Amino acid sequence: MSVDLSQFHQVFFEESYEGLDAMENGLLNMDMDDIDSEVINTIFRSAHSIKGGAGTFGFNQITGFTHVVETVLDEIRGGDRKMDQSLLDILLASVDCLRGLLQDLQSGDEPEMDTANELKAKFEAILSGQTEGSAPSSNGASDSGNSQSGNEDQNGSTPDGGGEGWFIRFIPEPQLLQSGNEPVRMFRQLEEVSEGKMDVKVFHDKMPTLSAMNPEHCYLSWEITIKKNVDRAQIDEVFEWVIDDAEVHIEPLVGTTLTEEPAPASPAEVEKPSDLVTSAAKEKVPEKADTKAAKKPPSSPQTQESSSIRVSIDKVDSLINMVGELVITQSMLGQLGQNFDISRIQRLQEGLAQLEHNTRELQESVMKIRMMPISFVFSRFPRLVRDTSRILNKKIELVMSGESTELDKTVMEKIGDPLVHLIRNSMDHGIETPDKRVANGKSETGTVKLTAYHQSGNIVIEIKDDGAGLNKEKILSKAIENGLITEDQTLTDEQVHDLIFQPGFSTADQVSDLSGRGVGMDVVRRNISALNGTVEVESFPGKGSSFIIRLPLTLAILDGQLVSVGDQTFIFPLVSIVESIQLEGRDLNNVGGYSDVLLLRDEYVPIIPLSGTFNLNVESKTLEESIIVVVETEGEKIGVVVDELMGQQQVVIKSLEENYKRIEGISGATILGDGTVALIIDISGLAKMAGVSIKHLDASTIAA
Amino acid sequence: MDAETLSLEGKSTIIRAEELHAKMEELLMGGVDVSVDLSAVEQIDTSALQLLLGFQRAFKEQDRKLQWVKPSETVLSAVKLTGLGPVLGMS
Repeated sequence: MSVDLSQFHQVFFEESYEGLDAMENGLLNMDMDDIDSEVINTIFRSAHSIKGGAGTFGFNQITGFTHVVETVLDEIRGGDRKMDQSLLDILLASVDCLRGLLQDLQSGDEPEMDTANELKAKFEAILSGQTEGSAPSSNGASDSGNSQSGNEDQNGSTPDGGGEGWFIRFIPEPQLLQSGNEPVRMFRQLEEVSEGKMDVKVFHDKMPTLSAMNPEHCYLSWEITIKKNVDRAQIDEVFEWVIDDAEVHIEPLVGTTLTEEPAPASPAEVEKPSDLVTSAAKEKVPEKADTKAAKKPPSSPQTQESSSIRVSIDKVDSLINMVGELVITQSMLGQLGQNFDISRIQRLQEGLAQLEHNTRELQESVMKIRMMPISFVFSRFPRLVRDTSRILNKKIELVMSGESTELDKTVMEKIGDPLVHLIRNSMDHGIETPDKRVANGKSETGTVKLTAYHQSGNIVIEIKDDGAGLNKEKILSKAIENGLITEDQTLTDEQVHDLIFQPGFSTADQVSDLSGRGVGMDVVRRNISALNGTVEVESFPGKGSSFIIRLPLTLAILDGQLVSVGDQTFIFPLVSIVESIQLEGRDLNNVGGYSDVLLLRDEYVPIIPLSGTFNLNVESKTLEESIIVVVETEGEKIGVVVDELMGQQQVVIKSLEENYKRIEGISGATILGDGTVALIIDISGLAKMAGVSIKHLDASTIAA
Repeated sequence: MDAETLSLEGKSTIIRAEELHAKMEELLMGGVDVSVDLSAVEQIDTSALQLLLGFQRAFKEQDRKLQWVKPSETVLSAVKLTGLGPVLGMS
């Protein structure tokens, strides 16, 4: 086999991560008293696929470890072992451990095996019937005499043994030969690997008489001893394709124990409960690798992360379909242009309309390719809630809805961390301890609701808890303590809630592992703003609080408001615009040392002239003549002075950074219908540039 | 006639195993000693090797003589790889 397998590594990692997620989900959803066979099968299949894949690619650390996990799972599946809390914990820990190993391998590091070995020892202790905590049995020692050895070993038990060589028991099923596998060929391969240092012992006692023989069945079984320190992976490779049709036991060669091995059981006696799963999983690995390989040029492991996307074939088909239509329209237009006269103008217009239609559909479909269900992010939260509630000694239930809501992959990748923060925050600060809850007449178990849905071109994610709500007094006193506000300030509820997003703010009495260090909420808001999104808080004392995140569905397209300043056109993201007003005789104050401020419904809004900020040459208009676009960023409102409001339109965002360079206050550019370039305003950057912040503008300053 | 010859030629694999099996059974009925000519075998697989073993065993049971004639390199190598050398008495 001279195929370069490394090109498939990325696929393997991705699938393994998915498998681990599935395992984790299954484990968390498991009802321990009444195990659903579908759930345990899913978990088992995932583990098996990971093992199979790891074996194929020679990641023996993973294979070895997953094998014991699989063995335990198999026993649970078969009803031979009862699931309990401690076993569940170890299994979950194994999922984490495997994830760690995979990450190490992916980044090209030698995997850290300490945890894996520890867990493996625990599993082996469990398997050999000892209670957890007692000394782990040595490798493989419990295997030989064990009654389960029949379904024990399909692919091996030790990752790094084989110092002296390997002992292989190979017991084909009768149909082995019919599936195109040929022991002669396999043994030849083994002989090459072992450079001839191989002994083969054949067992033919199960062979019937000649007339009773089915000539296409295999009646022989073998014991093979390889007396050379070869890589386990090389051996696995030989048996890779027969594990569905044979029992394969591979053990490292240790001393003389071999001679005591009992003769291999006959194929008929060997129980193979995992047959179905094995074949299903086996088919999956190479097949998927094939279909995806073409799309993925190999690159360095670090940059490979998030470099691929899994797209359903339907979406691709519809794209091809549309491109086909586009080509037809184009050739139609081309023909029309060859001998064009004015009488055909109507057909030209029709053709152009068709072209527009095609282009729009194509654009929508391409966008859809990047859309993925948000369950990719949500799926990690049940685990998070489970673990965190244990640490906090609280009873918390996570309720999720709208997992199938789709959003752009890029947005999805960036929203994960803020969500983790907010959920932890709800659990730590929001939900009360069980006794407190009972005292307040609530049920012992708190609920955190995670909801996603689409609303007018945005995706809205809500994190809602039924805890105590934000503690206004505490926030205020902390804010005064931290010098964020002064004692004599009166703030609206909204402004108070907003304080939790200030850098360095924390109301936690004790800094815990989870939250309370005051790094977090400000970062959450910043991350969300960076995605052109907003986050709001609502709080009902004693009843709970909710965080509402609004995000654009995609980062590639923006709903924009076109404005003009002088001869330039700029674009404001529509989401951040609160309102646009003409000044005409409104309250305008000039605060000493600061810019102008506008009194807008009892709120002071600083005013930034766009022309001044970007040093544009424009005929100076008085403020009264201008239009002010009031925008909101990071909870602050600012008014931006522009000459004229133009239309609203969807614009395709082009990166300025990639095509030119980074400019403060500008988040990107787009090309308008007439071919001119318009810059897209980065609201928060603009506010920073102009040096405006509401913090400088508290009521006392203005009153003065 | 007190001996017959069974000749295996070319590819003696699972594809022709049924055919070989039938021939062997026929010869087994015949009641005479058999030489199996293996000199022209270009490819042999487990199914054929198994049949040879079954054939040999059946002869042994009936106390009849069966002998291998000039096994080709391919045969010898396959026999060795599968560990059947001592069993078949071929080396």
